[in-house]
Amino acid sequence: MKKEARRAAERWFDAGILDAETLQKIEQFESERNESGPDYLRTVLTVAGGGMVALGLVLLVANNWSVLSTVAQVTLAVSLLVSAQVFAGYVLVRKTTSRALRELSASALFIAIGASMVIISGIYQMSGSVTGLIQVWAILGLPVVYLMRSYVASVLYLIMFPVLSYNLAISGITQGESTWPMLVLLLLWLPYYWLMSQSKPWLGVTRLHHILLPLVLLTIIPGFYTHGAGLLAGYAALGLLLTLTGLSGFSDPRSGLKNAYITTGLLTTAFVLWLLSMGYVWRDMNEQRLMHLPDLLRTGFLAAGVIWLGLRGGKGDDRMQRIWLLLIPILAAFGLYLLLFDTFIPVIVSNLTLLALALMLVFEGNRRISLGYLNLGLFFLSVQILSRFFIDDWPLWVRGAGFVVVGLMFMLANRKLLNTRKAVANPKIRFGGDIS
Amino acid sequence: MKPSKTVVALFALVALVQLAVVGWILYAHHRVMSQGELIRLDLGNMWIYDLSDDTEIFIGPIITPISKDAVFEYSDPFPPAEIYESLPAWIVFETNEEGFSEPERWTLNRPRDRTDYLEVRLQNMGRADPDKLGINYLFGNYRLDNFTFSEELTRLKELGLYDGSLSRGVQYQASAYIRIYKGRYAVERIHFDVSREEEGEQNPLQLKQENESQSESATSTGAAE
Repeated sequence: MKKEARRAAERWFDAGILDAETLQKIEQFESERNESGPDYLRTVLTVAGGGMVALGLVLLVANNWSVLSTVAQVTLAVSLLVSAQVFAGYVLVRKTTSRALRELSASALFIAIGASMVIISGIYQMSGSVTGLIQVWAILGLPVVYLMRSYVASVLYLIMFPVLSYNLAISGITQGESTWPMLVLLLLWLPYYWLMSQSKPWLGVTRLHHILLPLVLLTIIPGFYTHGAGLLAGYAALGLLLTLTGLSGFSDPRSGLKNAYITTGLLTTAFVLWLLSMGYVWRDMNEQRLMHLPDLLRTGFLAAGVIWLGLRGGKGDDRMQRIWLLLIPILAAFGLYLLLFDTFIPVIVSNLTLLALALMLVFEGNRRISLGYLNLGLFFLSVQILSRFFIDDWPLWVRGAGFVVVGLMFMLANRKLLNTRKAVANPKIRFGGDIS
Repeated sequence: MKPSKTVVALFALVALVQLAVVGWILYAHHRVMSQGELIRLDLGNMWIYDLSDDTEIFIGPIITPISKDAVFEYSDPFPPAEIYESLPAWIVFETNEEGFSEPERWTLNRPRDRTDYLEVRLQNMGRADPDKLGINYLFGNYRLDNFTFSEELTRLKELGLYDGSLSRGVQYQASAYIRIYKGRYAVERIHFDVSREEEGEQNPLQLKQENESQSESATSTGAAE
């Protein structure tokens, strides 16, 4: 039993609320629950310990690397892979029940695949593309994720995407390397993620995947756009798509801001709207670049996803589902900019859209009695107002008054919500009645 | 739960594919090194300076162009401050009469805990024309064969050719030996040649000989007196 729960139970027992029999039942239930759950600590310690041993060996070899002959260096590189394969195979066949060993062997094999390729390239001082190397590594490592059913290997696989995206951004695109293999690699991994999120949604590592996937999507999307102007529209649509995915209960069943899809999506959309609410961002856009057809098609694809999820509806009576309607003013702002060649109206539309998003969150927070939604909405509102102080040339007294108003709004809204929470949690106080 | 035979068979197949890919990379690299055409790329002159202590060595700048055939297009300003802060040593190559004012960056990186060898990191920071010369795609750490900095500096100090100050350095002629085979490149070695004399410059080896002959004549004069 957790320490806090134990203390509370003891306090209730001392106060006479809980009898000894019930306390014993609770303790027994909790201890059985802990035993049946995954042994996280053991897994983490085994993987960490194995990692440290491997690093120590690597350092030992690296320190004497230059004195080794080329044949010895190549032999070491290949034997690294072979030994990792043998270890993983042994664990797969013989140690089927040990989760810790499975994670350790799978992650060791995953790393050994890349390490052996890198070492061989290093031995022969070869030229080559880092992007190509990571792609080959990912192709060879993905079966390890599936066959070993390893969460750690899956996380390692996901971490490759931002690295791949970064490499494409700095060199790959200029050398004509395509970003599409990156998308294919991600799609090939999705069934594993889907199965894990459906079969073991309560695991911490599943939640980690829920956080990582939206972040990976945010990092790889620039690779699919040619110009920054189109990318902004793409990010706005992706933000809404992530929010709606979270609201639909796809993969992550949790609602509210605990759902990483919703949080990441809302933050992305708000950030793009905040950028678009400033005139100079629009002035820096080039109409021809904005009209780049492949970029438009990609944004259209994302927007179609937003509309589909928005019309499909979420779980139950979820008014947040209406957030998809924000897509209309966002696309309208871009359309008006192209039609009028003027930044004034798009800036106004973007400001109003950000305001609508903030108010929607505030009202949703009030309706759900959720401090998370309420404060996120107020935060967006504050950022929108405060940034005007620094970017626009407003008089000093207006800025001061603005600060006071925003601060008061925070205090009053939170106070009101906390009171509502108390009233709901304790109906006796709310209605002034007496249970006895 | 024991894994099914299909899972085990798939794992064996995957392991074989992994080995095959690594083997193919090994073969491709070996082919370049064994069958590739060896070319010598003139890197130009360089001066080697020792900074405040033995742990830091400054090499540069190169005044002559990297190669007459090498045409580079540069985009990044050089050198960024963080390079100086993060690396213990580096090489700077500059071009002059070819009309390229901004330099290509080749950093020389020496591990801090090692004194017996150097590694040269060739990095192309700008965009280069791939048709002109393959050097722009080279990337990696390259060991300098038969060149030991600490010993070299000690030797030069003993000879009185080098006082360790920034104002005076030792000039070297540097060359890269590169293997090229079917569009792939590998650096075989980087060579620093102290014996090559440049016009208008005094060769350290020549200085050494002069010093030795002067000391010999001084000794013989003293002995005669």
